[in-house]
Amino acid sequence: MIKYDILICGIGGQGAISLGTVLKLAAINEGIMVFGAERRGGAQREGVVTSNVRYRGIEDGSEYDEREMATSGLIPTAGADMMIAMEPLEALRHARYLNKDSIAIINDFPLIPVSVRIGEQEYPEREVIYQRLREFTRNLHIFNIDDISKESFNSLQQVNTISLGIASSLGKLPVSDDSLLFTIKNQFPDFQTNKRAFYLGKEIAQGN
Amino acid sequence: MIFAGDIGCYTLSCLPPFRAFDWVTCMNCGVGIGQGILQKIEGEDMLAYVGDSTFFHSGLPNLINAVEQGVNMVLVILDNKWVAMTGHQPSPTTVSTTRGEKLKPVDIKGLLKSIGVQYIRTVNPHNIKASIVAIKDAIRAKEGVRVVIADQECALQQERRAKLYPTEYDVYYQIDPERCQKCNECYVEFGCPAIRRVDVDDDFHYYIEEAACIHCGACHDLCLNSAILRTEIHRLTG
Repeated sequence: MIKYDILICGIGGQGAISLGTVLKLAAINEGIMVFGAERRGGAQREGVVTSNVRYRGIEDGSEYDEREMATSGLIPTAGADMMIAMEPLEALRHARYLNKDSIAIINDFPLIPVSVRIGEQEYPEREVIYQRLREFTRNLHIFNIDDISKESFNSLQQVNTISLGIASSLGKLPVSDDSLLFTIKNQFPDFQTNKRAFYLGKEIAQGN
Repeated sequence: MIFAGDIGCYTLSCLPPFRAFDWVTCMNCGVGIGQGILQKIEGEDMLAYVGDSTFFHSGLPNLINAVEQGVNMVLVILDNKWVAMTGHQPSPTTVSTTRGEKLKPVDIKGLLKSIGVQYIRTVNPHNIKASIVAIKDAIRAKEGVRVVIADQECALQQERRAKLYPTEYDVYYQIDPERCQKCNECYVEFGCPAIRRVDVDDDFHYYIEEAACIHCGACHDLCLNSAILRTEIHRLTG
């Protein structure tokens, strides 16, 4: 029985929903059942965005179990097998979805909210954020993907593709790399750069 | 002064640093609830906001009532040509889709005239100084329903169209760290998400993140020290 839930969280404009779409379309391409829901509310710019991706399917030789199927697009509390967080504070905000076996991939690049800019609130120390997250899961993988993307491609456009590469390397995604790349090719321009970014992500994850 | 809020992208301006609204409850709560409040607080100025999509959803009955009752208020219609908040569905004023398909937009100005609004002004909201003047003028006029139409297509959609169909030239904005006096006018007061801060050794400076910038140009006019530079890159023809 294939059962894998991915939560993607970020800030409006970072492309969390596009990343979720790639993960979902790749599953459709392979014939795996996929459920999902998005929270996009007031998030055209600088709001909370989450994308839930829930893979379900029957492998060869396993039996259909109705209790294992997803009835909703939303991931239950402590139900995420993987979390891809594009911002440290967003990772902490969605920590309730983590359990002790979850894999958390965090982009260590804080985007300073306006309330912090005008001095009303403080951005927590990043070490404090990660300390709290370690109470939820031991599999915390922190990369500064923004800097990696800037160094390698001189742009921030490739951040999500790199994190997709990291995710496919660290987690046991039910979808294959080929179908992920096939979806990227169909959905976005400049496939060659994205392909390099994807394999760069895999390299970084294995080197960690 | 009463500030009547409404539901839309501009609802986010009720948060700091703008704190633009006194209340937000539902679609068209601005004009609707505001008229009720003005019954009790007479002589107070009221500035109500409404987006174009919300206006066409349920704003007309409220406005017709306001005109008919002779309510003294300023209404700012933020006409961005799209239902931007829920993911850029076309609204009745959409001129053309991102793929360049022409639509038949509703003429808001003609519509307001036919209702009987006497004072109608149109302004480009990306020109901040002109917008301030237009709204101040409307408040000073004091009589009846006055409407200011902030007429500018959503910059996100313009950006998307430019990606699909390259325009004559590309525009880039960047901050010159030598001219920048760190007055915080853009970073704190304007609160643009694309303007970011980077720490270099003991110092820091601001920069515009190209991936987040939507090239609206509002910061360029805003900067008091002319530290935000505008660069046009023209394509070679032929």
